[in-house]
Amino acid sequence: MNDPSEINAFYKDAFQELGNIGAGNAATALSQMVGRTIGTSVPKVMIIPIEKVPEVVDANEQIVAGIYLKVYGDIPAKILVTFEHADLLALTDLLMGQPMGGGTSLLNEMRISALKELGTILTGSFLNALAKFLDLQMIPTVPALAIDTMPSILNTLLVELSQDARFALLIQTEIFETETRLTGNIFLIPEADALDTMIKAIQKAAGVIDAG
Amino acid sequence: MPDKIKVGMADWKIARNQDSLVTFGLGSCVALTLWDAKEKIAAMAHIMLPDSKLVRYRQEVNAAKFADTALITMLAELNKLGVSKDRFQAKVVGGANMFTFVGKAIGGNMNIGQRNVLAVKEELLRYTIPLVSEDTCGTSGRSVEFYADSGVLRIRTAMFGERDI
Amino acid sequence: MSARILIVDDASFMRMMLRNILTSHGHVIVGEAENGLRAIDTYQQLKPDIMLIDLIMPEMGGIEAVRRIMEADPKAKIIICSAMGQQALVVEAMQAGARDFIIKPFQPTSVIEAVQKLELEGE
Repeated sequence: MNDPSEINAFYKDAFQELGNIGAGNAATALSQMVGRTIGTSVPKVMIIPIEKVPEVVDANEQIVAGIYLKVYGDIPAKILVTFEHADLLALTDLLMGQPMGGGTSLLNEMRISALKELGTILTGSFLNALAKFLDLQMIPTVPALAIDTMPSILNTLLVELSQDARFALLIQTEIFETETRLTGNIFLIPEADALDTMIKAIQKAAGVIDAG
Repeated sequence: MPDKIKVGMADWKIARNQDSLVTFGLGSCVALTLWDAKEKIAAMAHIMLPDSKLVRYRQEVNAAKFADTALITMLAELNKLGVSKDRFQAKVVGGANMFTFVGKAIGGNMNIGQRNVLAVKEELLRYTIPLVSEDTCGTSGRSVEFYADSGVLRIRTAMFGERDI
Repeated sequence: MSARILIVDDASFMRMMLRNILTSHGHVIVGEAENGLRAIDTYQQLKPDIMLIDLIMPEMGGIEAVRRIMEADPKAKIIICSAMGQQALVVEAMQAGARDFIIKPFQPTSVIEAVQKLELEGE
């Protein structure tokens, strides 16, 4: 199968759980990093024609920082971590252990590096949990950062996918800092080739088929 | 009230007179516009990929999705409406490369955005339609609005505001 | 005790964080590198007591760098410091010759403890 539109409710549910497991671990990681409580939302599993993705996810052209990593290994995928533009300074204050809103108005090189590292750590811990749960290996590239509108960022990621599939599977989970509601999103977008492997791994993890 | 007609990814639309065409979130995608100044007819396609022959599936696909099929489809449809291709002038916008890391573009020497732009220009050459202006490549995503009465193409980016071409 | 330490990570933010943690505990940062290739060169030049290295980096990743450094200097003391904690990777890194593995994000104490452990282990 390389068309997500054939995915049934059982697996949609399982994908939601994957989002949960991944984001849960990512939230724990972030919480350790900044020493604050980090919550996660119920993941959204979206299976939509690629052309419709930007308007379904965000039709408001919100400006975000998008940290994009490709994932290689058993489940080739794209991971996108986004944070609202308005939150970036406060978020980097938090990462750098400085008072939030401490007056800096510049996203300097160190802050940009901190953002990328945040993307790497969230992605790493997200994938670690998934890999353990599915008994598979998933290795990310180094992160790339863009500050732009959400639809433009998604557009760029989806164009590549659109050579191989008509539908996209997106697992979106919100993570937020409970005190000041700094909010980010983690999107896992498996490549068309990855679906079969994911489904088999889910079957195995859930004991649906014999592991041998 | 003039209408703003939305053009989705892999789609194309026509607008006339006071109406305009809008598309948003052009990352590596390209907007190709055609304009007939005399009849005040505008058309815009939101093109995603350079070459329809490289896709792996063979189901019904939108012709406007690919550079090599978009223009010919638009011209044929417009011809049915009695608009001659000889009066069209074209503008091309988009084809950004938004994600770079350590100086290297994701996707090798030539990224998809760049390939989209080149493929669209090649088609314009093939059908001898003049390209009057463009705003292409770079690293910023773009949203555009194209006005059928003036032929002005308004480009908006997150960081640099608006400009007309 | 004070160790001479080389930090290898592509993120300047992470290098800064590690530098702050280690220097505040009396260690000396003798150098920094931002990828595996540079790590190999810098290691040869500086001969640090201990090297901390990330896994996923441009040009050359951590595992390959560890392998090559261990080839040239089997006594090298290397700690992996990566967000990738998947079992297979940890095993691969240890097989390449790394002595310890810290998963990011970390508590400062786990970095200090790992360094102390290696200092005591001797050759």
